[in-house]
Amino acid sequence: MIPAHRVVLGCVVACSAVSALVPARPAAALPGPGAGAVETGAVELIDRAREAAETQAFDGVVIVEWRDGRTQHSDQVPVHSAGGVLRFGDEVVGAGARRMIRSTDGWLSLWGHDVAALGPSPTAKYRLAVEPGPDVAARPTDLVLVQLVGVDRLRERLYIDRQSGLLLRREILDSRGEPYRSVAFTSITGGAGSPTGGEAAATANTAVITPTHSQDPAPARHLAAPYKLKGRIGTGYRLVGAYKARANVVQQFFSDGLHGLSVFEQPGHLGAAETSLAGKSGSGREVEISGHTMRAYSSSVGEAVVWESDGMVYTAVTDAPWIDLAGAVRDLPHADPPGRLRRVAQAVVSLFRWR
Amino acid sequence: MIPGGPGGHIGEHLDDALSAFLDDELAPAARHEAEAHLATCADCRAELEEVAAARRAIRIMPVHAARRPLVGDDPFGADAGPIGAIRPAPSRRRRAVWALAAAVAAAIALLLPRDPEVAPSLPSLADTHAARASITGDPLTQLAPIAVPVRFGP
Amino acid sequence: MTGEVPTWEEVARTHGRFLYNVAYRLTGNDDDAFDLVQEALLRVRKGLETYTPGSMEGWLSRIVTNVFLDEVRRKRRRPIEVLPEDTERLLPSAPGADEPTDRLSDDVQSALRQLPEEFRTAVVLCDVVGLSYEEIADAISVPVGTVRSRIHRGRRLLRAALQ
Repeated sequence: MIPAHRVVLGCVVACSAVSALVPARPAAALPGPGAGAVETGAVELIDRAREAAETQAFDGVVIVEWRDGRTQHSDQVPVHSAGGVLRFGDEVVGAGARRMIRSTDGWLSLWGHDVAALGPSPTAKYRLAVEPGPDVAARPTDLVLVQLVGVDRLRERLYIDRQSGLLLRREILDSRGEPYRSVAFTSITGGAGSPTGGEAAATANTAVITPTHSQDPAPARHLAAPYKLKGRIGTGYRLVGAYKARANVVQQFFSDGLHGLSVFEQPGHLGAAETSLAGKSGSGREVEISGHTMRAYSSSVGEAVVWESDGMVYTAVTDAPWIDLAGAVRDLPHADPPGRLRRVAQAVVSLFRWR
Repeated sequence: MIPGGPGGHIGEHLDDALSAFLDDELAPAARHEAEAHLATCADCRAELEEVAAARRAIRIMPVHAARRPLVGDDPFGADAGPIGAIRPAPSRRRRAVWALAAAVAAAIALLLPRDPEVAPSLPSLADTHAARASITGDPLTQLAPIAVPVRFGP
Repeated sequence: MTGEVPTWEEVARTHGRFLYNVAYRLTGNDDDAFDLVQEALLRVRKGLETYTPGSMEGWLSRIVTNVFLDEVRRKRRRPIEVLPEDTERLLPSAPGADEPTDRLSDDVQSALRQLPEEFRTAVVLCDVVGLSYEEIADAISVPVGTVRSRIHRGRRLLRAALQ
């Protein structure tokens, strides 16, 4: 069982204005055609950053900030990486293809197997550009600018440590160019190429962690009705894998090259208690997508939408911008509630009770 | 009907009358006219052949069977209940409609999914999503958020 | 009345195969055909109150066609993607019972599926179900002339697709 909240080292700052850690940059116009080399460079930087996080030794503090509606949220967590084990506080661990979080009596494995496919290249959907970036956590960076192909608005910024290749800051921007979701280092020591190099991790606790419980989704080999696979969803999201996440919950994981998007399906219908969905956090907000109303929620992990259709409950989760999520939700089923069929059946059955 | 019109055939081209002709849906008079036209019009004969070929192709398709039982072996688990082996009904004609209806009513109750009430645990699903996303995406920015209290708000 | 129940099953057993075949020719895939038949059976149930004995197959055809067309109209507002062909993909299961593959029939079915729904419906009702033009007109609520035209154009398109 995952505890409803986890104690984290460092201060928890709630409902405060976000102080800019990095001077805001004006939205830069991206280079025009002929920027192919730059694009390849950007993709390489991103790929290298992924690898760097898992292989290098470093220590730091990361701040996670997001805005939901009117409220700003901000939390910090220390990060430590050594010997291929990435630790966030003493709560979350990533090692190889395993992901674990601390549970009440040990470690719960969230993921436990490698995946074959990485997903599509981001260049199909995004235009990427690289320029010299500002300092983040006192380190010079390369700045990757992300916008949608054909749309003149900056969507995301990635700040990559020029020296170690680590992704030091990632921000997703709203329509005004303001970050509304970000993860960033406030301080960091170590990493490849730094004076302290690997020794920063000398104090590391690299003891092998074994999970006591497992919630590992299993690759689904067969999906019979009522589950249905979708190859593509929303704008540029392609199915990368489908898994049996719990007893009767199927997870389809999509990627557009930069963002992941999961769609969970579970037969049943939504209970009356909205708050049980989000625990103590609140009941979300009502949104309308494709003419149907459903509940949407915001969290540090991303946005989520929950609805039901024809005897199936859907939960879509992503850290991508809301418009991506809405586009995906639109492509999923929204049928009449099963109550309709039930009413027909009950009316019919009742006709024969008196016989 | 214009005998010997342009192109040397009788009357206008048959178009969809050709299908009606094949399906024996033309009244006798129209049928005669069609035959007369076909005798003189190569274009229509060619089209007739095309359409007849398509018609033939569909008609010889075998019956496509379902891979799982439509009723009876109840996909929703429980004992079949009143649906079992075929038993002859005493006077089928007289009670056909009622018996049918009654049986279908029973079938409905079984066919309808018994919807359990579910409440997805958002924090749990979000963790699973983030774990997966951190494998193909950047592990730092995907895992850090689940290390902070995952509060779901408006 | 507990003894009369089997009649339903008899009907379902007698006509289920027929219903499924029509549903499959209309929808082009097994999953949709299965769903279509289930929905049709529910409507059969409802329509029984006004059913007058006659051509059961004609009546059933009309029901399954209407369900199909309703579904088509619903889907038009929300196009469904076709599955791509890549690797880590998980296919809907069909363990065991594989039909003998009839390559020729697959081609025709494939061509049939490419037809616009109105043509496909008319052609299926005529050449799969065997209804008369008038029965088809009645089933889908269009004039006989329209039925004739749709059947003809559908067949021509089919022939073109098969070439």
